[in-house]
Amino acid sequence: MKKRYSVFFICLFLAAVLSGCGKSRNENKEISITIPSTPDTVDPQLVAETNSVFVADCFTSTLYEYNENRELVPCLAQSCDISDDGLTYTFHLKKGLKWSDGRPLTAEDFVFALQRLADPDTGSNSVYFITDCCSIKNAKEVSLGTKPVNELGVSSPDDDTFVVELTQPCPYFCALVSAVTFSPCNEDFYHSTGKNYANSAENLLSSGPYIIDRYEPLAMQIHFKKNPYYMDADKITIPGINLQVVANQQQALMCYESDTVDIISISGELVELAEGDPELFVFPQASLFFFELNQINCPALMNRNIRMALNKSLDREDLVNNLLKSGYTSMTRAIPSDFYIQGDGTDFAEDRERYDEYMAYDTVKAQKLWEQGLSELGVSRVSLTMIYNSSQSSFCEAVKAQMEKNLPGLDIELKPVQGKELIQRRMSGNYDMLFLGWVADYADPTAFLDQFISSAHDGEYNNPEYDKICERIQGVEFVGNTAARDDMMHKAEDMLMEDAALIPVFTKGNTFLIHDDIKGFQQPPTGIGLVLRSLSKEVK
Amino acid sequence: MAGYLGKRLMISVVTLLFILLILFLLLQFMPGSPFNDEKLSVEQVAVLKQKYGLDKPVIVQFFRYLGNMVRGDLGVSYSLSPNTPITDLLKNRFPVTIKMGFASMMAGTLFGLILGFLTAFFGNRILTFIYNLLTLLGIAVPSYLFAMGFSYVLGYKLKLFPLLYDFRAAGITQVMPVAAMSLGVMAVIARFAKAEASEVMKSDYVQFAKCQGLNNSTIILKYILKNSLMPVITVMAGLLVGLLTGSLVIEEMFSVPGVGSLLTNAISANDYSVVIALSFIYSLLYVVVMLILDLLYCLIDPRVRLGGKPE
Repeated sequence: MKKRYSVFFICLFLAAVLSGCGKSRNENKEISITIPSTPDTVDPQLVAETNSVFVADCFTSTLYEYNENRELVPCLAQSCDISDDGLTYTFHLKKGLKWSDGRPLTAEDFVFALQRLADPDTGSNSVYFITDCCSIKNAKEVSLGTKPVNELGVSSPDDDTFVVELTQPCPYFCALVSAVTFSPCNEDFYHSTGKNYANSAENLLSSGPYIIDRYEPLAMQIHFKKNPYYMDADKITIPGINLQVVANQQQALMCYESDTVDIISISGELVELAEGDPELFVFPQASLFFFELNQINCPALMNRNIRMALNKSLDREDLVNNLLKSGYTSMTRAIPSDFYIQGDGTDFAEDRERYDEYMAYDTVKAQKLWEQGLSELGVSRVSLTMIYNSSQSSFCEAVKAQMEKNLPGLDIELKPVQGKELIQRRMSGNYDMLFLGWVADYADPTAFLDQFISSAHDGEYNNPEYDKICERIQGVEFVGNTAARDDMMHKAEDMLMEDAALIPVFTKGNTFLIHDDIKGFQQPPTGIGLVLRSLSKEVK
Repeated sequence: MAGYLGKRLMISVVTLLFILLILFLLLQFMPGSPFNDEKLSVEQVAVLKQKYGLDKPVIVQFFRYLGNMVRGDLGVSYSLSPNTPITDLLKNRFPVTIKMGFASMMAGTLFGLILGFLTAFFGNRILTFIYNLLTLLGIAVPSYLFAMGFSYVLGYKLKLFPLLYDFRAAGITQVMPVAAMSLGVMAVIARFAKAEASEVMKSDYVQFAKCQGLNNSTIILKYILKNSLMPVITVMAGLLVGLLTGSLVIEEMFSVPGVGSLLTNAISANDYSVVIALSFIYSLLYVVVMLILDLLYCLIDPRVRLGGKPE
């Protein structure tokens, strides 16, 4: 009897050992990447959050794209003609483009993709790409259902020519169309899937380097194989990509260290652990984390001295170095560096200390401004409500402690809320201070500047002069004159900072652990998605 | 019996309808909407609400939902996985959770009963020590700690089991999550089994059986086991529903595509339709399990008479 048991246990043990080990990543030519949460959709016209963009980037191509040096280069487009008024973009497509099932990819596919994006029946969260980030003719009306989709300002005079009409110039339009949202969609194929488009691998066509070959909604494992019809298929060296959702960071790290995955995205404490590791990479993300100050409904925050005092009472370096750590950089301006290259070839936000006069930590000046502000308001105490996403609790508690310590008479009431409520409150202007992370969708400073226009939403900043400057930046005035436009954008940022219209706090990078045999992993300047063409792996 | 069953079924249906109504009302109080996105304008959000019929009064939404549900249509997800029918989401995920839940239940019950009864019958010092240690740990330590421990020791250090769930090798990749979940079950079952068995052993009828000179195995199998099973079954029902609804932490840790994580994600994404569908299914499970339990009672214990006068 005893013997039989031991045989059973030995078998069990062997089975476990044999199947448990599986294939180590070193023997596998494919690349395995972990992502922290499931993509909500992979429909290119619907994707909005970063994980979905990551997935969609693997199987889509766009007119323009970023290369491994983070430069914008034509992709599906051969070239682009821009009319003198900057309002008409004519893209000439490369010859012989094909979808992953071999059917030709034509300009009509771009027309259909954008019409679909604008269609209120599609219900896309990304529709702001064509109504706000740029304004394609009639996009607003179509998206609200007041005009039919065929009146959208997009057309295809022939199979190789795609024309977009804008209502105001958009100098960064070629950068904008590198977003997944602008990738093509084949109308015949779309209709052939009935209502199931992008709901499974069979119901998707690929225009990019890979074909999605295993997917279901909210999948935890997504697999891609090489697309033989991709225009540069011979340059793609990785035969397949395996995306694995791992929400638990420790688990992801253990998988990485036991050589079952090639690349993991990490955050928080794990970044601290990996500090100094040559396999740790930080990719800049075009993000700004800041406090919005309600200057319409909150009397205390209408006072510039109070706003400046709040800014100067905040020791950003301390927060970044001791609380947030790797991957975070403190910010005293509204535009992050490493994001927009000006006409003269320099970084728009190279000078990180440009606004230190208004923003930098200085308790003495902060207290002076604070007292001035209080006496102007005729009060001795100020109470403010701070709204933030509950996941940011420890950070906001530290901010409260610093501000209250440095500014006597300040009471901050903390109010953590869920993400959706945060946005609801922001839209309705129901807050005093609101902590928000904003990630740019395209590499142009207006991606950050435009949200402070009075009409952007209720509450916060309201300055007609600022609105005028932003309107000029978007106007025909600067078409073809990048330097003057850059100056104007500096002027807009100057105004925001001089007014202490917000409290910028930090910008955040994306942190990855990447095994040393993986080369050419890169992200576009926005820090959203990934550049796949250059990825390679040495197989031992 | 039939009359009782009918009555119970009626009550169950009314209860479920009531739960559904409450769910609908509660969700109205949830701040935000599924379409709040910092980059969408108020008008665009309104268009989305209209598309999904969320601009209608609650009561209209309620009856429309009820009508669709009867036809087996649970609606589509709004924000978690836009436009995907919820039945599709559940179709893939429920089987995984149910399989793992049952496996944990079976393993936990089996080992729990063995441990509990053995300790009750032959409570020597070593056995009692093992019993105390395991039940204490099983009850006091939350399952995710076991999961972390297993992952580190068995998965990472010894490389015996894979760290992540893989549907291509579902069996082996489920070992660690199932083990982590079943320890708690085992502890509860073992304690109940031991307590009940000890109680029954002291009872008059067992004493009487002993006096009659029946041998030990007959007494244990025929009198003690059967009579101490009843309370154990009551606990099992509750545990089973808990396991079938999936464990958020365990599923998240091992990347198991089950329903446990779905509900929490849906709540934070304000995805009303997913929240309602899942909560409703959970309630349904609970009601059904309780019903089966009541019926089981009368099979095991003839003293329980259902819905009638004593015969």
